[in-house]
Amino acid sequence: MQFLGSFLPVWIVMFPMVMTVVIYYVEQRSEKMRNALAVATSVVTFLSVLALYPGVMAGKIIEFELFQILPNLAVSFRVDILSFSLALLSSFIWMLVAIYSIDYMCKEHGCNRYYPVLIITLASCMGIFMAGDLFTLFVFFEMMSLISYVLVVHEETIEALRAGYKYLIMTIIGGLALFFGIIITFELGGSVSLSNPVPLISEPSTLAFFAFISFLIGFGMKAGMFPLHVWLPDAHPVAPSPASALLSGIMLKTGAYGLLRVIFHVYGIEFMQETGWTVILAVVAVITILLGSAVAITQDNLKRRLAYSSVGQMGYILLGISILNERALMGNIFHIFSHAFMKSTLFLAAGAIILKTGKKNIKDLGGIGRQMPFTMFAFTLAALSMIGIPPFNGFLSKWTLSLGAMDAGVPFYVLILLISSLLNGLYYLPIIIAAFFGEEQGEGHKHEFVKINEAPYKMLIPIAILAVSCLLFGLLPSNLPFDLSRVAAEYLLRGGF
Amino acid sequence: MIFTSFLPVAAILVPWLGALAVFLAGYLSEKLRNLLAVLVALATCGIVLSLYPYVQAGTAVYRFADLMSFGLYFRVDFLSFVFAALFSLSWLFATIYATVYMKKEHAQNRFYLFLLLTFAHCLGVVLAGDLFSLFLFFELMTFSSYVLVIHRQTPGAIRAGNIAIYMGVAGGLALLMGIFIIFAGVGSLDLVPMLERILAAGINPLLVIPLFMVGFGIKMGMAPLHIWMPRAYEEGPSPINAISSAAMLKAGAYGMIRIMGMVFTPANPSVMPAGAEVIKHIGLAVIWFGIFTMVMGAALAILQHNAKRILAYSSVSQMGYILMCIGVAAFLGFEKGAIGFSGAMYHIINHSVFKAALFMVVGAVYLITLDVDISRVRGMMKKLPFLAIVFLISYVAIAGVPGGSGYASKAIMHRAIVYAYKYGGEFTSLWVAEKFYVLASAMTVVYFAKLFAGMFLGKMRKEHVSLNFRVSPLIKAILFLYSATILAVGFFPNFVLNRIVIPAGAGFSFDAYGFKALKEINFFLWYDLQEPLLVFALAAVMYLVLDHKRIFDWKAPEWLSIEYSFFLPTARFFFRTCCNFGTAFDTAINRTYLQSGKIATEMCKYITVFDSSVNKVYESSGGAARRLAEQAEKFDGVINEAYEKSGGVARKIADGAEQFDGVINEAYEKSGGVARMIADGAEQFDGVINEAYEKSGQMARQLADKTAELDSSLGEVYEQSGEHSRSLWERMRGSQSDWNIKNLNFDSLLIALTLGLFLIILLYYTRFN
Repeated sequence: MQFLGSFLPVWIVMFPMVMTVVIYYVEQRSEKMRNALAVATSVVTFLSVLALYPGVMAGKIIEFELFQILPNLAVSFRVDILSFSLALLSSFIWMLVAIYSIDYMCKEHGCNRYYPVLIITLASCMGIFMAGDLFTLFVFFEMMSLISYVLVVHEETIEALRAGYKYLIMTIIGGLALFFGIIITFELGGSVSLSNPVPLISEPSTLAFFAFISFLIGFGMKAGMFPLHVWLPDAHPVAPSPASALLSGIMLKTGAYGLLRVIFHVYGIEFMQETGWTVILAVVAVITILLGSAVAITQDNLKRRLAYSSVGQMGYILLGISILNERALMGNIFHIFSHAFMKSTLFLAAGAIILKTGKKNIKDLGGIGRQMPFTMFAFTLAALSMIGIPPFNGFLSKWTLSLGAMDAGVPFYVLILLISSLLNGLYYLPIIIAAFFGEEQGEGHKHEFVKINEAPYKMLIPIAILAVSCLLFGLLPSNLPFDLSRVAAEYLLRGGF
Repeated sequence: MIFTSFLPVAAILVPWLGALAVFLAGYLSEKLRNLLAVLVALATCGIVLSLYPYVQAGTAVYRFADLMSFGLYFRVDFLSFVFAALFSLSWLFATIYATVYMKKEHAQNRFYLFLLLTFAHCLGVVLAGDLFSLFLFFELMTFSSYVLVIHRQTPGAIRAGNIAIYMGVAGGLALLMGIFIIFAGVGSLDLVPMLERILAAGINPLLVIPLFMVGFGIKMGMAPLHIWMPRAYEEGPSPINAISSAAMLKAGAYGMIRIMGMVFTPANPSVMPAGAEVIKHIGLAVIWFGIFTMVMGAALAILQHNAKRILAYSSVSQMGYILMCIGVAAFLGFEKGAIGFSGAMYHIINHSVFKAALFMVVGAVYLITLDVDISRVRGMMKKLPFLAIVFLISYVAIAGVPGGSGYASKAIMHRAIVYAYKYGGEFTSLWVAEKFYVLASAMTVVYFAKLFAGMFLGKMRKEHVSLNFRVSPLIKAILFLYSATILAVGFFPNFVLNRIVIPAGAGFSFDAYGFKALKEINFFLWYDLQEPLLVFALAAVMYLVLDHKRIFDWKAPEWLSIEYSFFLPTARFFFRTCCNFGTAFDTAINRTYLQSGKIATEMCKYITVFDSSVNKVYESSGGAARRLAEQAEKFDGVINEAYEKSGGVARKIADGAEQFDGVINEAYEKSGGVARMIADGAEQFDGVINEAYEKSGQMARQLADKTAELDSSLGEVYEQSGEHSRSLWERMRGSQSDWNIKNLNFDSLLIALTLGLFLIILLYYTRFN
């Protein structure tokens, strides 16, 4: 039983990998089987992650070393509360997206490519969160980044290919920077394991600083951090909507996760407080927030606007990391949850609109709320949550984050968050207003009864679950994401043990 | 006494859930929906009123711990109760009114849904026990009331709604900032007097109160943040105008009272904490904001032609009175502040009543004429006498004529501003404020005279004559109730003052003596009566002058409007800065990447060129080497020749030596013959000598042979060395295939470099780890 428990992380990573191969063979025969298998794989993965819950909540850290490559360098797995939180979130949203994909992708080409890639990306994503050392993390990180290229260029249009190329180049730059950081860490600390009882790097030095910058570039690139965000607004909109939801909702968060690991395991919080290197992160985060929010206003393509919004929201998360106190950390981890729920809802809703009406631009969305009331209602919930209207989860994370900033004695950050909220309002509210109260383009007469033209229920159910989560996880007194973020923040501040 | 009671929560839940039920019922039958909506409003009203026993004895509280991580907290004291009761009664009447008014409108299901939702949120604002819950409901109110404002969905309505909602969001965020600052400093958001704690935490009230003033001021219509109001009122349906004026503006005023009158007052008024005098200055600023709002609102109302806009600006102006009184309360503080508070509270109640009545009258006219512009709708008096009478009663109230409800509250407010001047110490500017107050009151009389004259007097237009002038009995009943209330309050002003206004001051840090003094006021004495007289005299003069000079029809130039001169440019600037700067920045980054990519490509190209030129160098250097080798070969040949020649010379020398030997031989032979001939006798000697010479000749021959040998051996040596050097050169020159550097291209160089680096790293680790 003990062995089984510690083997579970390996199972969670390996199972989807194996299933990828299975799906690949099955899909040659039957499409239905393929879809069913993809959904089943994601469900089983989610349940497997859920099975970790009792152990992790009891404070246990599951460690498992697969094999050693070199002395002090091994492929190992480690599950603590932070890993568990993110893995749970990711597998949950993956599951919903897999269900959503069935109907969304049915009219698309290349589904036989899409599903195996979807599942193996799940595997690598799980691998990132469950990695026990930086080397394993790096391997899975690269794997996820490179494989998700296929998701980005799925449409195979010129824009998609161009965006994919940009994404690929940036990914490679980020990967190299990351590798450099890991090498230095290995040299300075003699190990890259995350289960070291003390932080790996304890002495500030030029080399350590370079490593920090490298990590910042490597993970920040993935997290859409300014000035490395340029791939994001190109890559997210061109991908098919379910993939956009994953790219924005989950894969960006791997960057934030990596930074958390680096700051708390490689350097340690005292080190960071002494050296003040996180100021760099804070400055960059502030610029990211304002930039993402401001540019989003000018975008007319719905998904592009959402992508820029992601840039801004990732800024919140990075800012939360840089503040380095408990409430900010809690707010930041909770915002990882919130943003995943909100942004997935928005992208999936945008996908539903594209599927049913083919409208991609906001100026065409007038009156869409009467045509697709359910989808747009979910969209509204998530968008209000984005703006930070109570009682949605976006408000709660902003509230916690701001209190953290106030604890740290920097009301300036709060001001930035609030200005960004106003900007969020400026680019989300027009969509909602146009959708429900705006005039329809073209032949429609506004008082005429508009035929309801909703997406199939397999798409609506995931959207509904996510939208309701936005409300529940903001309103309910003690909800799982909030508890997890609190425990994880405490855990990280203890030094990760 | 603190009672835990679920009633405040029920007061919010009932309209909330009722709203959903009404929405669903709307799909069954319109009548059922309308009935249900009125019933829900009635039930809520009942719940709110049933809180009365609790608030009489103390406060009713209910706490949801941890909801939204902070916990929702409801706390109802008398002040909250007064507001809640006011709101729920206004809403009840407005809902009943709406069932008539909205009959022909579209999307009624949505209207009732949001009408009741806004009701719930509005009640939440005043029933909330801390700033967090207050903020929650405040934001929800902003959003749900938006749908009511834009109900018609005309472009004008959408525009009005946009201004309202963006300003609402901005105000909400200002509020949130203030809440963050207080919470971070004090650690509590309860609505209790806590100035000491705020100051002890090092929070500067000058920084925080403006944030709250912006947040609540936007909702309240404080100038210059009122700009959303006229548009929203013009475009919104009349029942919405009524509740907006009667309740939603008051929610802003409520927040202002809570902040200025409660949170930022000392818990222990006998000891003034250090730094508290700043509150007095803020109070003064608020007074002036109030004066500005009332004068500006009244002045703008005079210039309007749309009845709803006149009433909207009138609301702005009246909220200015209330704001001024809140300022007086903060300015005078503990000792005399009670009068400001009472004036504000009293006027809030009165204004809710008469302004709702006025909007409903205008709405009733609109139902008949579908137009409320007083330049077109005229002379309704004959056809609509009931509405005219209700209008006149409300006019009496708002103008402050004794007998109308506004008289008493205006009297108290006038006293408040006079007190502020009297007891305000060195702030003599308040003397001017009092004059402005009188001026604004006179202007109120004037613009209502204009509205009344425009709408009810004069000659009716032809197209209006044939209309069906039937006012629904339901509307008549509501308006009758309103008029009755106005007159009742007007004739018995002390009842409201003593039973409602003064008890509402419980929990505030105001001297009880101030309230006591108020209780004994007799409003119908010369002291209070002189002010309305002055006002009417002034108004009469003003009306005549304005009418004569046709200023009523004057259209103010656009630049005078604060919206065009300040808000639009500011918003545009903000928008442009954000968007243009952000986009430009983003594009610049993108370009940088593209540029760096291009530069990298260029560099790669350059490296290719470099690579080929290196190749060329090698090739040309190969040629040079070949030429060099050729030259060396030639040189070698020359040397060879030289050696050969030197060999020849040696041979010639050797030959010469031989010849020389022969010559010597001959010479010796010749000398021998001479000697034989000279000395016959010495033949033996001659023979001996001959022998000797022969021997020496032999030796010389041997020597000559040996030199010849040496010579040939030398020649051999030279020949051999020549051969040797020739083969060396030949080898050095080599063939082209052996020496081709072209095969080693740049890539493999890099690979080699990387491999080398990798080896060094490996070496490093094996060495040091």
